[in-house]
Amino acid sequence: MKTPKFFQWLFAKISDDSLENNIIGDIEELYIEKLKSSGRLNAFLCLLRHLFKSYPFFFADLINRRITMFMNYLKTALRNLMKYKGYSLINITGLAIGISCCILIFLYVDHELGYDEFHPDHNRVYRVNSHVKMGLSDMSFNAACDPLVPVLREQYPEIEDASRISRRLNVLMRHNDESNYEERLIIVEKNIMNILEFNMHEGDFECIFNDPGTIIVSEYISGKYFKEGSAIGNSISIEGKRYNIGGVVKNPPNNTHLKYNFILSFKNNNKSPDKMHNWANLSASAYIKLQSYVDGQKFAEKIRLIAHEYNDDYFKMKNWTYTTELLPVNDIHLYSTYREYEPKGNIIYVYSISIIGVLILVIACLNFVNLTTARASARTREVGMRKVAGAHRRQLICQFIGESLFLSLMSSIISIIIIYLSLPYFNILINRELSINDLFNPLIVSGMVLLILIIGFGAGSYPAFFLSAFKPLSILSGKTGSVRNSRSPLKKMIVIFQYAITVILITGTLVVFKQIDFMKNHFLGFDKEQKMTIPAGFRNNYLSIKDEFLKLPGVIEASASAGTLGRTAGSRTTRRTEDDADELIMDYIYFDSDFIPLYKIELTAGRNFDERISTDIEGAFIINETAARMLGFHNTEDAVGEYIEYGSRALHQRKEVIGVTKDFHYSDLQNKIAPLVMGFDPEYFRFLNLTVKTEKLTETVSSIKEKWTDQSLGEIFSYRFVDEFFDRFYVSEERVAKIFITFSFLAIFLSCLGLFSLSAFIAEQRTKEIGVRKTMGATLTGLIGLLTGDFLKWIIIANLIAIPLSYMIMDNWLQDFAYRISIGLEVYLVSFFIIFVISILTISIQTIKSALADPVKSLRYE
Amino acid sequence: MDYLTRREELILLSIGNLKENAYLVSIREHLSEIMGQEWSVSTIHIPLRRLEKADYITSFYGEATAVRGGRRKKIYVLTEKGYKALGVNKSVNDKLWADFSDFEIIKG
Repeated sequence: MKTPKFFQWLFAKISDDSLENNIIGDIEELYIEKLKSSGRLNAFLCLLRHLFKSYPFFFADLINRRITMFMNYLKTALRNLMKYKGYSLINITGLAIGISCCILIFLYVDHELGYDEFHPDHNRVYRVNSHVKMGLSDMSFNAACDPLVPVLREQYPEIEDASRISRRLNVLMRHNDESNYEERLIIVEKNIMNILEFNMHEGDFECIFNDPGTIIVSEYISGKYFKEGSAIGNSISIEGKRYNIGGVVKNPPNNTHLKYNFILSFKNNNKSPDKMHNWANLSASAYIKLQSYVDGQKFAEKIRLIAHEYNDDYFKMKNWTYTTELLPVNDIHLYSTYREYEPKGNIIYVYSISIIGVLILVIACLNFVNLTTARASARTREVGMRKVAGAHRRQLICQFIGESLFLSLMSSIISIIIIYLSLPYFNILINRELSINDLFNPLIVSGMVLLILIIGFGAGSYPAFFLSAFKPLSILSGKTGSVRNSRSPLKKMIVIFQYAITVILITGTLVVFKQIDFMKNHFLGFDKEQKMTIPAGFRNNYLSIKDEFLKLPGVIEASASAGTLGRTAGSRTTRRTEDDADELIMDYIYFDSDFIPLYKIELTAGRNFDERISTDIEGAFIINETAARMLGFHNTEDAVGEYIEYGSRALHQRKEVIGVTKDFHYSDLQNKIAPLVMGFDPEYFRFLNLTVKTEKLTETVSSIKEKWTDQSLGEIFSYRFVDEFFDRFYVSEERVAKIFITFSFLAIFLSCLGLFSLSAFIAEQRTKEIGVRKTMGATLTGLIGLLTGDFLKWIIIANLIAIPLSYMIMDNWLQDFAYRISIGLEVYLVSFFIIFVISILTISIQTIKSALADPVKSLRYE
Repeated sequence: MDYLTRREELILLSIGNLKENAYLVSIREHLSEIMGQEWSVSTIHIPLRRLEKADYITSFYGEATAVRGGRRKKIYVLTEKGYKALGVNKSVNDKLWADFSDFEIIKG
């Protein structure tokens, strides 16, 4: 007779002396006694009762024993950390840096991808964009033609609501005696509330619709001008018109394409929605919200030619093809191909920076694995001792994995501190406002836990499974005592992989920098140095005003213009007089006869404007080479003396072409040079262009300001340097370059960190070998060669792998630019040189030390 | 010297009383008999191990019996330290009881 197997098993599981089967024996005796006295059922129940009563005690006892063992593991782990302080520091901080980079990048990517997602039902909200083909020109607008919105709202049941927003980037605001340019005014219709989210801080959003002459300002404006008390009830003037503040709206979130400081209703803007029925007028952005059952893509297809359905004759008459496109509101930031009011993101950059983040994390993890493994293999003796003392293999596995989990946990904790400290700098780098609170979102927290587990298990598994399998006898007798790390193929692959990534990052950074440098220093076709532009309200007196400014000691040249470099006066349809079929959209700038010499623009044919020739004023054009070519002149000379027609066909407005300039970049370098027409119409002039001396610049600027006020050329003096203005076009590329260089620096740093400790470790393991070699007469250089040779081989292989890859990636990136560099060989030579030098330095610190060591010392103890 | 817990004291006393036949089952029976309540296995097993570790008792394996499925008994005996500990315990108890004059009231 025996106790049921089940009980035997349960008791054995929880008690400590399973070897002697002592307790099982006792249990069995109890059981049999009970069986004799009161039958099988009672005996069974009795045993069950014992079991239930015993379990808590046994369990507590079990945990107690486990804790004792755990404390022992912790002690050995800490002793090991302390014994190899350098490695531990490198190991933990390296991983911490990797994790923090990855998380920071994740925050950034999350921010970029989360644009406009705070609007309720954002996946049903679209912006209606337009694409107009007029003759030979294609134009894209982030707006819809004015009468389209009522049509969409009323004729399509698929649309829940449609509304318009008109935007102004800069407005002149006056409060009491203070006048300033403030940014971002939007003009809205009432039903915009049904489509987009506006959170009010104070007051009611509807006030602007109910009460004419009312405006809503943002918290930012309210805080800036009305520091004490509520802004509501105060009055401000915008562009000379007085408004009462009826509400304060919360500042829009950072990640929205629609930012605002002032909200007005269309009614207040003398532009009642019912007056907006010109089909050729695209004055406002249109937003629609679809019903939840509608498939956006299909619907977009359906309304593609909607404008023609309602007003075909009109467009036929104008020879326009007007297509409507829908862009989901949360895609505007990253995917828009239109001109936007706020700086656009780029999905390519988001992807590339995510990849960089992952690569850095991979480098850091590989370092961690490499180092943990290397260090663990020096602990074969500990493993042997533990085995002799009776450790199970399972316990050893737990010990090693536990240790590496402990390390990765420590790294994560440090990484949170690093993130906290570096977030302000990172915000400057990416020009966003992320906060540390963003860190505590479930995705990041769970990702981090997962990462700790993966890294911990990954790095711990090699020593855990490999070392624990050794026979204690062979370990302790020294047969596998020194594992030759450098020969392990895994390690070789890890180092090569890390270096390949580093090479890609370095070459990428170099190419980006080269391209930006090229764009900045590319000859724009005109002289941008020392040129200053000032908005000025001329009253047909530009000649006398120019003379006034030329009297100033700091001013060399002066010219008046409408529109200036980097900012055209506008665009118009243009055609050759005799050729009626095709129309082109061309950019227009107006300036006086001093403009071309001032900017040193080259003329290829004809002549410049001349004030003395009366027909030049308002009667002549100069065009650029692209315009001449597109108008069908094979030779620039042919264009001179020809007439071109502009504006509405019915008006028959035409002017003579008197000159052709070489193409110059009047816009940025991302875009190809477009056709440009330059006229001499003084009534349009709004800008003063000056060439100033560089010395005593501040004095010159203040004297110019004084003169400007004397001549009463406007309310607020503002000026711009043309070179600075052009540099601004490359802000987003520069930011990418900065992000690139920061993270590639970190990647290089991490790779070197890994290399450093690995080489140090290998050198240490080969101390005896080096000692023997030295006594046998090896030279110092020979020894250094021996120790560094392997690494250098790996670096070269890594370069061979990475170069074609990086060429492909960077060539692809460059395709975005109309004017671009070619990736030269020197990029790769420079990157190879950088990596080579850094690695040699890193490795040789250790190798020279060990090669110089006295062989007597290293061989004394055996 | 550490003082014994109540349970340890009881177990040590029963080991002393059972002389050469003190093992888990007999100790349990002895105590259950005297105290009139069932003791579970672990309530004796775990203190036994602790007492052995602290050298109050020592153990040897008795002969195998058929009742135990051929397994040997682990028999416990008091060590000198165990006797001393019991002595200390008793003297402390006695002192405390001697000063405890209200005993009669409780008894009543």
